[in-house]
Amino acid sequence: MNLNNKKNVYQHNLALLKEYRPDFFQKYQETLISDIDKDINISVINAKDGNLIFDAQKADKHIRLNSLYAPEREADKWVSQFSCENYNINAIVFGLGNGLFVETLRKKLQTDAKLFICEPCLEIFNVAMRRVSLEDLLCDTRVYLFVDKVNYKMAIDTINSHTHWTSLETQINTYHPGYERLFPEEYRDFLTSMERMLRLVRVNKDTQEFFAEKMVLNMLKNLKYIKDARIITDYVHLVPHDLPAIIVAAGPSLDKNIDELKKAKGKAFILAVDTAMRHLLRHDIIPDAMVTMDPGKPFSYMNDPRLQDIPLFCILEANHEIMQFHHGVKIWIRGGSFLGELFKHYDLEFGPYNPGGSVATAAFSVCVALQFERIILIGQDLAYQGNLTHAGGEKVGILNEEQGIKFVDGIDGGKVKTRHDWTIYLEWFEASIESIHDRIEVIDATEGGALIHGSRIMKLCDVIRQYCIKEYDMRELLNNGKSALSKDQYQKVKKEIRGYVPELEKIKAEAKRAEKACDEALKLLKEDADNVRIDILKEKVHIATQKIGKSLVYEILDIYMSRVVDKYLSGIFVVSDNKLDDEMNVYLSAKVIFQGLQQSVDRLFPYFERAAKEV
Amino acid sequence: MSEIKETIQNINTEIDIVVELFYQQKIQEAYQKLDILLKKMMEMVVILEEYQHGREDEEIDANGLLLALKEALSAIEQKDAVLVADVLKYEIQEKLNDMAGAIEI
Repeated sequence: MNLNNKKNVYQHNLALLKEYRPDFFQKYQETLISDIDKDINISVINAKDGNLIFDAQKADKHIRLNSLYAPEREADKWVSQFSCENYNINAIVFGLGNGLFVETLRKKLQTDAKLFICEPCLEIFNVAMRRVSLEDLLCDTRVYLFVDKVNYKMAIDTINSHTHWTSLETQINTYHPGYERLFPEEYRDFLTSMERMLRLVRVNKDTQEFFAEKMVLNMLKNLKYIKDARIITDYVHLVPHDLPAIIVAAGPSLDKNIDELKKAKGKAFILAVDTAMRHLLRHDIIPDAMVTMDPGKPFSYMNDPRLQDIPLFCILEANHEIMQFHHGVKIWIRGGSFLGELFKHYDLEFGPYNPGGSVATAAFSVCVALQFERIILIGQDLAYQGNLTHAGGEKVGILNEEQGIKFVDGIDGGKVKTRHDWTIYLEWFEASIESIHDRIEVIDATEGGALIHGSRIMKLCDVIRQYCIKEYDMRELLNNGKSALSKDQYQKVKKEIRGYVPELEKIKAEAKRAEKACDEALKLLKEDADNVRIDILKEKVHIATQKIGKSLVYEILDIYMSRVVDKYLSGIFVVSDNKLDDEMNVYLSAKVIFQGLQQSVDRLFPYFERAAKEV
Repeated sequence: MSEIKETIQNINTEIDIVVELFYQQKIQEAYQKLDILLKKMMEMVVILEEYQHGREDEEIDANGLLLALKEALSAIEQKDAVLVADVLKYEIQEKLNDMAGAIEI
């Protein structure tokens, strides 16, 4: 393709965008009409080796984005610092530039890798579209492209959804040379968001490991509620979006304005987290709905008969005792790898949902998913009040609490004392508010605790006076929703769940065969590493892994095993200089995983049998 | 004579290392190594000038090397790390190679 023919290049790139990335194409077309970035000027010049390179002028900064002499060689050297031979790489690059760096990186990545390109400047993308053929990048399904004003805000969530903790060790996180000086603030914000995201990935891994057994047993015991399951997406278009949504968390400041909440009843959507329920009931306040998420949430928080009929937003992994005690409408807010996939078989989608890490962040996500235009937070201290952690004068500690103590900006000015887990939630709230600020206003009416940047601070009484002016019965609306599954669909789901029991037997047999193959391969690698039978065994293990992985039941087994096998998965995608050692390690890890799988099947078999009967 | 050539070869090797560091955006490490390298190159210029006395017929462009070094210093002042690497690789190293060739003849 003639790169000097500007019109041809642009039309070709546009056509590729339209064909391979239609959603992006549509948004890009809209952006072209409305947004022109005049803060930056990009000149395209010829390097001494004939390549087209970009030269950026922004305010008093003049930064050339490539080598003036030999940009291709520069890009090769730049890429040579990354270990592209590892498996399952997520490569995240801040900046597209003229595409040369990312293209050179793309070529070196393995087929199972993903490349996320985050371009903070629309003008640079425009110039690249006009002057450089981006064909290989645009056509490659491994490449995810995010551009300012087009889809840049989706970058972190998308990277998050593709980041498993096992791939953290092989992750490439870098920037296009020059971007760190040209866009220092954007780069700092990007790094901060990435750090938050990675911290959450690690926290979620720890949580999953810690709660693995409880989670799975809850999932199996809660499967029986699928029959009447409502899903959150079914309510999105029914909800009056202009109704204020008040999220009641259980921070110590809730005591200050809890009685005020009575005035909002019937004039707002009052959504309480499970931990706040005892306090609300003590003050005779019945919310429109509740949220529960934690597999280990104490039953005592939710065992008052007065809450049995209140609609409950929940997940399959929530404490089964709470779920059983509750008789009202259950609305599933997240599918996860199991329920989400199961419902997909019946064209039922849960939609995008980011639960954060606590029940309060989950409640916030419920309100965002339901598209309320104004969300009000109360009891969301995210900080100590003296030594108190919760409303009602309670102190609830966490592991290693002392090590995570910090001081952050307070809602009343000055600093307030907070701890590690609250800091993560605080950052999560701030990032979420930033990503929705163009369509949702978030008011913090907590009247104490940490300042949530991006929220508007108001007293609850003022919020109620100003915004709670329309009568609406949200509880009735939630109760009137119909089951997500039709009768026919439910019969099919029931059959599918009952089929899990014989499927477990098959998985166990497959795992046993694969374990034997691993044993034999390990023996051969020690004695005769060049033996051709190793390839046959490798294929056997591969086939067994694929068969097991295809089964939906495996999603449950995978969670259950996480505590046992996670340590064997750590570093499994890293390739060293010693091929034999790498192979031995892979077979050893695989053997432990297949053993764990058989043990998990044995342990969970009676629970699956019971679930099959109850459903 | 072979001593000068050996010094040029060593400097060339060090240039490659520094250039790679600059291209890989390992800027701080690159500048630390460049500091030592520049001193070695300045010493090299002095040695070459001495060597040139009485050998005016040999094409040793010590002055050209000095000019290229000035260009590198200017890029350092501009804080343009990639340009520093470019000048090292495509101006200074080229001149050093020419000199090594001329000395060989």
